[in-house]
Amino acid sequence: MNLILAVAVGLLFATALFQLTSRDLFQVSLGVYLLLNASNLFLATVEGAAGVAAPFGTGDIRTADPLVQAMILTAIVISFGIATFLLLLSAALGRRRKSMDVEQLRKWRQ
Amino acid sequence: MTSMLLLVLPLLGAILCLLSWKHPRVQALIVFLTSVASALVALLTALQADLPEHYAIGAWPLPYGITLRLDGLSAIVLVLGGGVFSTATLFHYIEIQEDKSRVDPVYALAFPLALLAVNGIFLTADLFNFYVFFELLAVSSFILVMMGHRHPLEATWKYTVQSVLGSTLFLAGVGTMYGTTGELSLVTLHLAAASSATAAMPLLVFGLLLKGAVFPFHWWQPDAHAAAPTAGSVILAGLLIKVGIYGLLRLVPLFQLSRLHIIMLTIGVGSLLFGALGAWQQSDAKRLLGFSSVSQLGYIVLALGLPSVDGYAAALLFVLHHSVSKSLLFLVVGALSAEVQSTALSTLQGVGRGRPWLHLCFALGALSMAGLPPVIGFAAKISVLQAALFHERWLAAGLAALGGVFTLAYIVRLWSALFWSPPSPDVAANGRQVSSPAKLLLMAALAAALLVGTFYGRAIWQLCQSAADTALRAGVVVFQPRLAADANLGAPALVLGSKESYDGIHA
Repeated sequence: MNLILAVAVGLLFATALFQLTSRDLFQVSLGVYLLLNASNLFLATVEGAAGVAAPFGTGDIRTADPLVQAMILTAIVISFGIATFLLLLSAALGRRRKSMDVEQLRKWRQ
Repeated sequence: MTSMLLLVLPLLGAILCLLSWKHPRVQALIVFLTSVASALVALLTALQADLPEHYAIGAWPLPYGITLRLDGLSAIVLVLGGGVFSTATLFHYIEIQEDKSRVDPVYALAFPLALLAVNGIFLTADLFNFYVFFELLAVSSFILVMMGHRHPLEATWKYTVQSVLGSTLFLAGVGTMYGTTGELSLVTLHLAAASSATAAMPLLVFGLLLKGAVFPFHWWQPDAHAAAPTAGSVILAGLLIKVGIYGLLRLVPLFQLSRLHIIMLTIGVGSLLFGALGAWQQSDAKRLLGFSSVSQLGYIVLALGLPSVDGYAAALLFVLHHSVSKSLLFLVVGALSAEVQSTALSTLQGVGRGRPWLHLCFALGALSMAGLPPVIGFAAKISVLQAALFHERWLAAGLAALGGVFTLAYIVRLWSALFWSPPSPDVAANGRQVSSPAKLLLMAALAAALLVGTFYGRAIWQLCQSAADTALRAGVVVFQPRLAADANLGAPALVLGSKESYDGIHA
């Protein structure tokens, strides 16, 4: 199970970094969203490692580490918000400048 | 309890801001009053003796609950944060009063949200909550930059991507930390992490450096500074980039590694030299100040690579001095550039001629920034150099001194352009305007703060030393890590003692 997760996290990070090197504002935004999700999934892999047992439900019931679940849930909400913001920003930039090329950012500055 | 008040006040301000959406003046007033109230509460808490104060939200004890911790270091930065926010929001209020032009209500809302985030960061005793508040701060500062006038969307886009990279690294670091030690509380990490969490170290440290706009990761920062409105620039330069430094102050002592200290020294020296050279080349006043921040942050990061009370105290003193002087310089440049509607140095030529009071305020800030005696910036710079010499980092000390010369050079360049050179055609055409007494009073207040810092330098240095001692000392005050079942759900018990006594509780 952990191997699958590890491979998935690796693939997500690799794809995200590849997307980040793109010249298209939209592609980079998608790369950012993938990156955020990769780190969320990475949090899932630390689950069940050294830590304190669950506060409720002791004994023979096997429970997942609730702290990691809570962290991932919070991180998902944050990454969702930021990804939305970045996508909207890219759209506004593209509409205003009539181009989605990252290289243009440098020229517009002058 | 006061720590909770510091979170509730900004939240209340944000709600009132939402309720007065259609009335920008009321909004500006609410935002200002919130900041002042937060600053006062922080000041009163700092003056009371019984620090550190712990507060468990909902009275849940440690491994499950969220705890707030207010110690000497938090108190100092909380007061600083309140002060910077009061300055920026007062400037915003004055601008709204003078200028009836349309201003987006979201801009005013960003201030209390950023204040909430900053207070939360300074109070939290938990790495993950640090991350959450960090993201809240990032989003509110995106808004502050986005409402600017000079290509704000481009600057915000760069800033957002950089910020996401930093927070990804930081979040991965938090996860690694939890995976290796099973702890996220900054208080208990002091005991558990130092030996085993070296995998988390580069992720956390580089995440914070990315957010803090230090040399190899600085590329968003001058653009964001130039794009943001003046009040936003004050928040950005005075506080936002210092938050990364605050995180480093808390985290670097966890990893007592000489490798990490070498990294901090290298990045610090690179940042202070590169930032100074970059500032010298700029043709825009606000971008010049932005590069100057990169350079000044270099001194702070350099001091963080010197693991002693004096090194950390020097870093903290530098943070205090830089926040005040840089805010003052941004206010002066902002007030001057508002008159000619431009921040280009060529247009701003001689705009400050014949204005003794504005000149005096600028001179104080500039002298402090350049590190010339007797202003407090001199004490900050010399204490960094002294700490470097004490640790026998001769090369770092030498290069830091060289950076001081570069700093003087670009400050004099800005000074001569604004106040000494003959007026540019734009300035001459514009005629001499009288800048508003309210703005002048605000700048005078900041200049007075610099003077007070100069006269009470020794007392401030002692404060910084005791705060640095808090940051460095591991495991003096420890929460009792008991389960909810056998602990009474009141305030968590405090255990005073060393690592041994902590292990004893566990056994």
